[in-house]
Amino acid sequence: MQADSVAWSQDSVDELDPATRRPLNQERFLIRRGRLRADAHRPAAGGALTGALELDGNTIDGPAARLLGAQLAFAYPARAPRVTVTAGLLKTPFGAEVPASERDKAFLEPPAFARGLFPGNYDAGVMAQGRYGLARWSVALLNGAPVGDAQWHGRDPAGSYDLVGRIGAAVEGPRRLRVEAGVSATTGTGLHAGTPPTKDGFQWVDENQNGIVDGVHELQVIPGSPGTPSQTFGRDALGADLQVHWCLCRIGTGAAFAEAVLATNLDRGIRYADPIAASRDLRQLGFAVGVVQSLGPSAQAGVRYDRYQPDRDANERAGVEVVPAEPVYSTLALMAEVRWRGARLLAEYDHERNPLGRDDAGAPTTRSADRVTLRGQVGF
Amino acid sequence: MRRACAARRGGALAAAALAALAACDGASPDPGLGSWLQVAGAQYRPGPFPGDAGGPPALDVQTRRGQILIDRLDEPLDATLAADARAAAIGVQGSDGAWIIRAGAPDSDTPGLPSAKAVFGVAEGFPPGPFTLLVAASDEAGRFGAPAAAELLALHADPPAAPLAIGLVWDGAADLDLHVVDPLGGEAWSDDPNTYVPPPPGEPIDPEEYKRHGILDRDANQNCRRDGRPSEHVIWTVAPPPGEYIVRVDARSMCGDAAAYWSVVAYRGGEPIASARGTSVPEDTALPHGAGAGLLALRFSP
Repeated sequence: MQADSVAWSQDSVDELDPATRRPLNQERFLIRRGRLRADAHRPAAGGALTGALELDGNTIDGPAARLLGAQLAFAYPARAPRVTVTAGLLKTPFGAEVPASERDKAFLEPPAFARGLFPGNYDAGVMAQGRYGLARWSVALLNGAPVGDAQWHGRDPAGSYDLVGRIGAAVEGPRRLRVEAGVSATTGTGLHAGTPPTKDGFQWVDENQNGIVDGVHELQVIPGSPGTPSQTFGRDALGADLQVHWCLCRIGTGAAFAEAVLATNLDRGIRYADPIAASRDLRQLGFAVGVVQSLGPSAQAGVRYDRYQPDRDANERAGVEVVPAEPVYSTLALMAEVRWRGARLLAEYDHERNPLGRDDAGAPTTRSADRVTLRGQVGF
Repeated sequence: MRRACAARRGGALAAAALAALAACDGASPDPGLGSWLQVAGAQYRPGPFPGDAGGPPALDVQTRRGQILIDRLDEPLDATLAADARAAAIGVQGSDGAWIIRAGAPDSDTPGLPSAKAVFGVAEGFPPGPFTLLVAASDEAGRFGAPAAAELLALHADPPAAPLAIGLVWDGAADLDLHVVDPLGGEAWSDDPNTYVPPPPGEPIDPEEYKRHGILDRDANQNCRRDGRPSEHVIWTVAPPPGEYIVRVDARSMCGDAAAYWSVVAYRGGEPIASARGTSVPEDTALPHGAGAGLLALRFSP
């Protein structure tokens, strides 16, 4: 269970969003994640048959409950399985950040590239994963519609499946040093939504502002249009991740991590990638680097920087010129945590940059969104 | 003691560093809804209108009309900027708050000179009377130049000065429909916006006859597409038929609102002659929505 308190947020306003009518206030208490997970195991044919069901309740957009994960898996052999086959609603096996457990993550929220490319982390499909010596591998066939998809909300609009996989290695070194590295890739198909046919309409423009329809010259016909068919498009991504874990005996364990992703037409969470509508491919680039260090048995501190470009080729008109727009989302997160038995209390300061505002030159600039968040987490 | 001091110093330094990070730059998250001037789709810029800092000048600004109705957001603005302009700030002289828009492509009659186009309006509470609209251009570094000005007149939108006008006004997202039945039995509403009842088949139809009956001016908040301050009127531009008029209000959809507070006013020659107030609630949407629908709001004889 994770309960958050956004103690201070630069972009908090006691106002409603003019477009969506949702409150713009950000300073509030909320249940970020309240998760209930049930697991069942049964020996079968020398392996192990497992089932897992995970439910999530939160108050991010008002009280809500939803199915988060539902998996059936067969692992072989039962002890130290080399191969596991899983089917259901599962975490996308791409990179290190996306498949990681929310419960164990040091920072409050995923980096922007993970929120943009794999929103919600979960997708439905079938996955095989295993290990052989130092090697680690996983491959999955998924719907390609993650649960946090901004347009399709987890419903798969295309009949084809996305292929996702990761191959990596984990090397144990002296003095509890451990290095993990991997390369991930995905390829699949997205859908550009067609339009329905529309009928004729008309609009009244009160030219002389007398409040009266004076004649047909004040009526503008809005002609109907035939429908357009939906179209599919290709999308793919290539990622690399590296983690180094260590133990400083008198202080505690620590880890440094780095992850980068190059993608094309894959954004489904922040700036929805639709190359048919844009008339060009939309290329994404994201990365995150960070370090986390335990400070004794019950405290931890860390810092992470992540940066994400949802459209590397974006440009816009600025007067007589067309100039690069470079929309960039980045966050510098500073985190401190204390632990006591199964409980964690985290404080995080996020220094955010985004392209949502306009500066005096009319160029995209950060709409101030720094925030301080406190989180209490209890696990049983 | 020394360690405590060092810790305090460290904490103060960390707080100062965070404050510096937070305060360094960034556009305002304020959507600017409290500003008198409203510009659709622009970035709100709090504070006084930017002064001339040696940037490119704004050369000209034109609006479609010289008179702006208060509480409307429908006035097009077209400005011409100096060649090196990248953006424009729009504001009202003597009033805090400006709006930033990106400069656009040159117009055909001013080649080589960027344009700035927007739709603007002034909000309720804006003092009626003359005012000066300012447009200033900025360059790549964000330096503003000398502004161009347009002298405009802000007026209250009076009720239509027609022989008879019946208006429904409400606040919120709900899709309400005004139904007006005239003494001849004709009903005007969103699916049939004229009280004219055509003659039986076989009889000739006068193509100008519809103008002599009540005409609905708009279907506000249609299909939950929200208008700013929704209103609907049925208006007679010639003398209306004598007799009793019936006005009903139909709640097509509440569009997520818990209640819609509305008022109905009938005007003769611009002067109110009858009025009513009421509230629509979600249960009202379960009632029929065709001709004859709606809850009775008003009966009157002009």
